Amino acid sequence: MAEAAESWKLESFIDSLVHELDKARDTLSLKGITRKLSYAVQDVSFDLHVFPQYDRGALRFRVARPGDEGASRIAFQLGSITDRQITETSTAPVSGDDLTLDEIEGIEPEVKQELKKVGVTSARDLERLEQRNVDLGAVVQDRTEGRAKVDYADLADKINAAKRGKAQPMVKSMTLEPGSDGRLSLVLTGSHLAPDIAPEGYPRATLNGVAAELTEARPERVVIALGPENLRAGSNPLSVALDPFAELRLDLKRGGPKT
Amino acid sequence: MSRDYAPETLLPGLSELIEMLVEPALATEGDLSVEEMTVDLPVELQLTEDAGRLGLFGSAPTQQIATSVLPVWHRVRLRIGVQNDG
Repeated sequence: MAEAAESWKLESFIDSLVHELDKARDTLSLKGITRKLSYAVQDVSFDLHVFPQYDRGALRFRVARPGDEGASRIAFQLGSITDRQITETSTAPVSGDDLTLDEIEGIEPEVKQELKKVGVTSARDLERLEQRNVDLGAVVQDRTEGRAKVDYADLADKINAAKRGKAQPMVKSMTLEPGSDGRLSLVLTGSHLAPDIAPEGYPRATLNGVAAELTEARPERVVIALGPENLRAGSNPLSVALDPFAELRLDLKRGGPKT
Repeated sequence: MSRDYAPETLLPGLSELIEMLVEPALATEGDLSVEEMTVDLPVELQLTEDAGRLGLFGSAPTQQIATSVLPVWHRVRLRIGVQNDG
């Protein structure tokens, strides 16, 4: 049993109409392969008999039913565009260092669907909208009729988490090495230790709650200088944050003076 | 009152309707071929909802006898032409 749509927003109708036209175009193109000519829908216009309804500030429509009188008439026309126009007006395909919307976890399916409808298909599209100060929260809230909310900070976290999925920091070895100046160095080796995608300020380290100097920060090697002036007898908590999601916590024990 | 559609009462999808209209043009053979066709017809529409997506189903009039309650006829105009590249 197909559930009848009682009322709908005009953009939903047009989205579905475009979807049906795309399906028809694909079928016609397929048939055109075996025929000498291929056909396409050049334009389509609709005259609908509808009743507008205002629902919580949103304009919705209901198609007139048999026996209904006094329906409004709404007319619109959709035109086709050429392949060249599509190329000129379409966004570039998602590149290797970008993420598609589907790869970003934690975004509700309904939000993803509405973002795609407004042309957002990748993490880079989201960044572009933020740069232009588009109020994405209001867009999503309006299109989902208040059912879903998003903000850039939340999306940025999810994007970073998804990007990190491709390049998670991995520590393979950790050694404490004495330096020529009497300072100790903690040397971490591994992969993605200082990833390019990490926000500014990472990696970073604190010793006894005080920022420690990083003398080297490369993806495969990070060196943290541990000055004797910062080490105290007994426990010395050391924290190394490689990115917002990966933090190492160590406790360096320093023996007291021998008696 | 439920207005859901049983499978046997559901009209064809709009894309299928378009394909059915174009099929005769595709079938022409010989030196002359159809370059463009315009279809202007009343349609009965059924709108369904499935997981937030609106489904469009429609058909040209099939009822030839006037009855006390007739379906509501909307109007659709399609222009279908030879596809040019570029």
